[in-house]
Amino acid sequence: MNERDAKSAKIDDRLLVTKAKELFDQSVDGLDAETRSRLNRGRHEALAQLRPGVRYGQWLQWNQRTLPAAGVAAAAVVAVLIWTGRPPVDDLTPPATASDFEILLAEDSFEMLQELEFYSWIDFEAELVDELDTNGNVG
Amino acid sequence: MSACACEFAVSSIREHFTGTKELQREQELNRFLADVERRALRIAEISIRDRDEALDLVQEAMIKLVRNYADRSNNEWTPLFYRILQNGVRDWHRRQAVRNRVMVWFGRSTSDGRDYDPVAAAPDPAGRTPDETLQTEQAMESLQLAVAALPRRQKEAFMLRTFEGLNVAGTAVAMGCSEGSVKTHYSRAVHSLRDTLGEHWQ
Repeated sequence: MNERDAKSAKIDDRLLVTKAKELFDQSVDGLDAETRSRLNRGRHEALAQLRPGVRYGQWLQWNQRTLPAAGVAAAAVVAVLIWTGRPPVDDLTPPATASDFEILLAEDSFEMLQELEFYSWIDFEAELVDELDTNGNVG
Repeated sequence: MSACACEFAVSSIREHFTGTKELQREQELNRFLADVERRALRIAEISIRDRDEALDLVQEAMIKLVRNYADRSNNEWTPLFYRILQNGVRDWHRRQAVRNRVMVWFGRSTSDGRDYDPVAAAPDPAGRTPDETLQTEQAMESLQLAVAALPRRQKEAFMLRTFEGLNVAGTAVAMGCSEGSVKTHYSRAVHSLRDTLGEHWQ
């Protein structure tokens, strides 16, 4: 490319950039009212972050992020408690075992969960009968 | 006046001035964001070709700027704001790429009808309309498509330099690269656009 061509290309580049900027500015000026309104609302929401009293949005966002995690954590704690069998609900309720946890994880565990107390009672009764039988045998 | 009353008075005056300073900062940020928001929206929209998504990205950038950089000097806001926005655009493209891969894996369409064909969308030199507005819109559409088709770094450099009017140093901060890289990307972008758009566009 000779010097004249290079100069011409530079002028072309300048023209292109100028026209691109003009077109872009026109498209910015031509934004519709709804879009401008949404930008305006977004700006005010952003500026609300500066005010110490207005933390609702942040709180909500924090909760949106942390609630699912908190749910998973709570489920994990319940699982660990069931797994380790502590703490028992009361003196009459026998500690759950690993097999209980497996049952709870089974597909049809929902009905089981609803009637958990009933099954615990049956379990307790069965153990009581076994104990009486054992004592009877001994005695 | 007791010492306690004096302390209370000083504390009240300090609080008053702190409050005034915070209010002033909020007003400055408001002016800055109001000035930059529409151009930022169009720049994001050209990058991702979706206005709703672009609006979300601009709002996220505004929130992050206010939360993290409100204390910085006003001169720093523009490059910082665009750096946040460009990061948002990049993350958006990454998410889209992952989404597309997942959709392909499930055998579903990934385009959402938003694919564009630069050849089909290229301006037709013979198809000029007498309507000036329409011509402008067509020219803008051609420009948008040509800019969108540029490699990412060239696109960023061109839009920040030309559309936002950032200088080389500011663009370097916004892009997170050296000033030399900005110059190279910008120069290549302009040459590429000149080749793509052709003489009829000028």
